[in-house]
Amino acid sequence: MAASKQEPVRAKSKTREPSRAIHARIEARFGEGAVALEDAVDPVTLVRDPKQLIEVMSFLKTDPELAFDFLRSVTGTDWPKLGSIESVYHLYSYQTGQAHVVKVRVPRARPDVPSVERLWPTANWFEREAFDLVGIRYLEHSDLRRIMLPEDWIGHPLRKDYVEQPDYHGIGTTRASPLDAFAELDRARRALREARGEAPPPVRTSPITPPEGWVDPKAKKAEAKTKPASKPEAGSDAGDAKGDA
Amino acid sequence: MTNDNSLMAGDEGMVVLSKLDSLINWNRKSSIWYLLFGLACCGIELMQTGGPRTDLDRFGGIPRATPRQADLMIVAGTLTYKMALRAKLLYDQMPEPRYVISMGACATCGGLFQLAYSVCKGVDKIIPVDVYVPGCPPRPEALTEGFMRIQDKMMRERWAAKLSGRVLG
Ligand code: SF4
Repeated sequence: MAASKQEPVRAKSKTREPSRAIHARIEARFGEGAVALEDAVDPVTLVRDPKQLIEVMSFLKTDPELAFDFLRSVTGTDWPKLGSIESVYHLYSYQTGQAHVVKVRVPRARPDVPSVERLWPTANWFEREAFDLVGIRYLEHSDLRRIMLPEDWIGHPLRKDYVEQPDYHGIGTTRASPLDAFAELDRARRALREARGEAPPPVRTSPITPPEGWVDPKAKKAEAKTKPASKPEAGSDAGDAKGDA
Repeated sequence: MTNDNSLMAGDEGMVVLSKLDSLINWNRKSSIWYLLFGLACCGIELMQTGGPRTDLDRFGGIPRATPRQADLMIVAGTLTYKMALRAKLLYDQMPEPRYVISMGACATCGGLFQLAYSVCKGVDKIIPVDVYVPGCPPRPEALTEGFMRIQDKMMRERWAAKLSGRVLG
């Protein structure tokens, strides 16, 4: 997407400048090589090296000016074309009232991200969810099990290349549409008819016939447009006659 | 039952003649205890059906908290695969004869979640269903109708005749 198109939208954003300021503070501490700014309506800090994530996150939590004491959510994003998976952290500070988004990118083949559970205990369930649905492996997580799907589920369903299993414990995962049965019946009937050399049944038409003297209002309107000068009564009578014929 | 249909034996007692099966079924249908089994939004409507307006109690329908005391399972809501195994377990714990109502589009075929990876495409994939109640969610009136169809089904059964060997199958 062209940046120019997004620019007016971004300019209106009230959170853009505060987020940039927060990013600037992180950058000042860790240097440009460690973090990158992803500009958006709500700019995001990308931590380049997953190994540095804990360091950056504890800075975000303990720095007196940032003081992000609340982890709102952890989510995962799958980018098969880029061959990467992102773990996204939404932070909020009750002390300053500010919010910020941090993310880290790991290869799809080895999606290992250090767990932030020791900084924000609430990450325990969030990370289990991201593991369950996207398959991010959080290192040093205290209890990395599936949280919503059954434990014996195969695959991570929010991966873009997820393929559904044909059955789960013998329960089929598809259901035939009842409409297919009707289509099948139609086909069978047609085959039978053709085998017997019968003519196809007449196409059913609407049983409603217009009452006598009825004129299609659309036709009336069109006629009134083409003949604006004629008297209305005479015009409509003529229309009736034509319509009937 | 009025006096016209019964034989009076003196002033002390009254004799009622009926078929044993009709009597048993009449008792059964007047005390259908159903398992509390709300899975999603339909569960709210199930509670409403048990509430004072539609009042399943007047048919003798009383919610039970355990399948071992239940005659009827009303599957009210979206059945996920994770829950499907448990629903089967609950059904297996119910004493025979047992009945199942599939309430709402979700329980019947997966409803609007039928393309989801986690939703079972119909409760009839795991347990036999007696009555399907369509709707999303079905109104309490509709569920009451389904309940009455279960009563009809009960009234047609002939357990005593079967046991005495006079009816096959
Ligand atoms: S059928 Fe409709 S109301 Fe019932 S559980 Fe499904 S979505 Fe909810």
